Amino acid sequence: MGFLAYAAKRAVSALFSFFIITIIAFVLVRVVPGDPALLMVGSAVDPQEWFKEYQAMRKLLGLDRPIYEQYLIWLRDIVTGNFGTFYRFNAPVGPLILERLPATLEIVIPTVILALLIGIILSTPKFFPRIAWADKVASAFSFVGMSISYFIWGIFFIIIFGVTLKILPISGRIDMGIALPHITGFVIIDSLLTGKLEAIGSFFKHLIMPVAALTLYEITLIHRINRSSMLSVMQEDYILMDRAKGLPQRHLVFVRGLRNALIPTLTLLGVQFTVLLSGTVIIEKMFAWPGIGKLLVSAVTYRDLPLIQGIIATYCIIVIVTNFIIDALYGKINPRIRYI
Amino acid sequence: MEKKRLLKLIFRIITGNRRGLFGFTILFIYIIIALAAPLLSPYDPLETDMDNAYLPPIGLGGTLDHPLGTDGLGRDIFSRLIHSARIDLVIAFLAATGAAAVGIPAGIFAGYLGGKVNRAVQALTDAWLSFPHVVFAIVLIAALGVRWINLVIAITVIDWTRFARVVRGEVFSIREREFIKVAETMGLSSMLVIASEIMPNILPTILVIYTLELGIAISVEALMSFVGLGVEPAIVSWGNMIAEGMSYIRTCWWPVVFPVIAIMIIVMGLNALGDGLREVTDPRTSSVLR
Repeated sequence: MGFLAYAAKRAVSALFSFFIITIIAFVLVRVVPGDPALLMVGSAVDPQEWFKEYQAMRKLLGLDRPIYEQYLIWLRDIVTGNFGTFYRFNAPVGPLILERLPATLEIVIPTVILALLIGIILSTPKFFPRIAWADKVASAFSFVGMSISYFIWGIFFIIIFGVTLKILPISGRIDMGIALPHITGFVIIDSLLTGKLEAIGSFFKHLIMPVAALTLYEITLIHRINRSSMLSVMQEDYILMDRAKGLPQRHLVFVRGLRNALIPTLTLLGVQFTVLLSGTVIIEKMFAWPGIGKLLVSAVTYRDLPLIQGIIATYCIIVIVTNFIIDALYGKINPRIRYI
Repeated sequence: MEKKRLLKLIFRIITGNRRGLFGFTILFIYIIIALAAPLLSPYDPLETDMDNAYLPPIGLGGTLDHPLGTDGLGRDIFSRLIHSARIDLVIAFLAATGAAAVGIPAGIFAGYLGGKVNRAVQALTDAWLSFPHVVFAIVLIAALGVRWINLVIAITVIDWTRFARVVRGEVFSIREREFIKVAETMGLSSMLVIASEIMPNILPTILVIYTLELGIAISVEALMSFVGLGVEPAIVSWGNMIAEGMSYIRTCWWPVVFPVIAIMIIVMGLNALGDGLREVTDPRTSSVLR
């Protein structure tokens, strides 16, 4: 099968998961709450007035249409990126989400990179007898760390570095005093564009604890899986062959072994990514980080249906895009499964 | 199997592995504390005493009156901690049982029947897994309302896939083994094959997932209560203690740290118990089951 057929197959399966995920999300926001309009209309003194308002709300939310039509309209909204109006402040939902999305990515991207790098490096000392102690330390940390979620790391960080030692800020993204205009939404890019370089330092100070909390949790999982898959890969005949050829151990581990060992790790990363997204919701709330996770919590508190729907759709898109990227990486790393 | 032998076997499974025994002991102690909470706790967990707010724990200038100090409303943290074990364990056991009750049948039927049912359940569990669980839970609780029983429902609805996925895989591989073929050839109905041949074989795996699910449910309670969408604030739970304590974390840390430690210990214990059970019940590594 050629690359085109492979890509087509992946696209079909991505489309399929898109439908399943959006249907689940739709049922979740539209069907489970009973009548969302009831939740959103406040209480008016006059029953007739209230009923009028209620009818208007149903129309505004599109609840007067048949259910399958509502779903199709929502799908159209996802594709066009037009999520209706953020009811509470009467502002469009799409731009609001786009404004918050970079903040979430600023946590997610460094976490994935750091956790992968550190997790993989920690899983290699096992194969270098001189630093065997490092493997023991890493494994012990990994065993204990498995039971400590990002939530608990975050709280400990706040107490130790934020409140007791007072060396790191516990809330926000940059210092209040720094006015950074919103251009791309990414602090680093915006500050480079506007020349306000002091924002970057402040940004990193705010970023350390949220990213560290999530990274420490992810490292333990990546370390565990990568170490065990390295253990089995290093037993393979082709490694023995390479060793017989006289290749140095460094080359065997980092080039020959790691490439195959990474396959299960990558699978884990796909599953773990959704856990990481879950984590950002809690961590953003904990550190008052203005991402879409925190926005979701506010939207739920406001009971703002269009905003909730828009955020859920955004998560759906993130999940599907990541799965696609991981699929593509698979083919890159493992020639055996390419184009099948 | 007669009752006495079964009890003996369970005893050997639990004590057969040091890690499992450690985990079981912790779980056992927590259950006893939860059951005896009114007897053990020196104060009413909801009784406020503004004159004695923010008292530090022993070692930081506190007295035996309030061994772990008091919170912002002068409530005794030790008593609150003990009482929280009740609601947290109830949520954990109900949610894990609910998830098992939905996930195990789904997994068995998918794995045993194969074909379209199998593929449908697989697609469903894959989609479930690919959606962020906390987001899922937040929206569910927003729809159902902030009550502890809704948290149980949410965990059940979200985590049944943990059971379904693993059970489906196990059953799918067991299905082709000879003893199943023999049972089918003998004319046993599908239900009987499932009950008498398949269930005993997947029971150890289910036990492991159940144990881990207990820990997950306790963590979820803490997360969701922290966001304000978990246990209703009127009930004392570890999550609610953390949520409240975080609002005045700049004043004092002990109202937050103790429930966090309580959660850490029980989750660690449950993970150890799960690990131990896995080792003991795995025929490749175990000497107990032979």
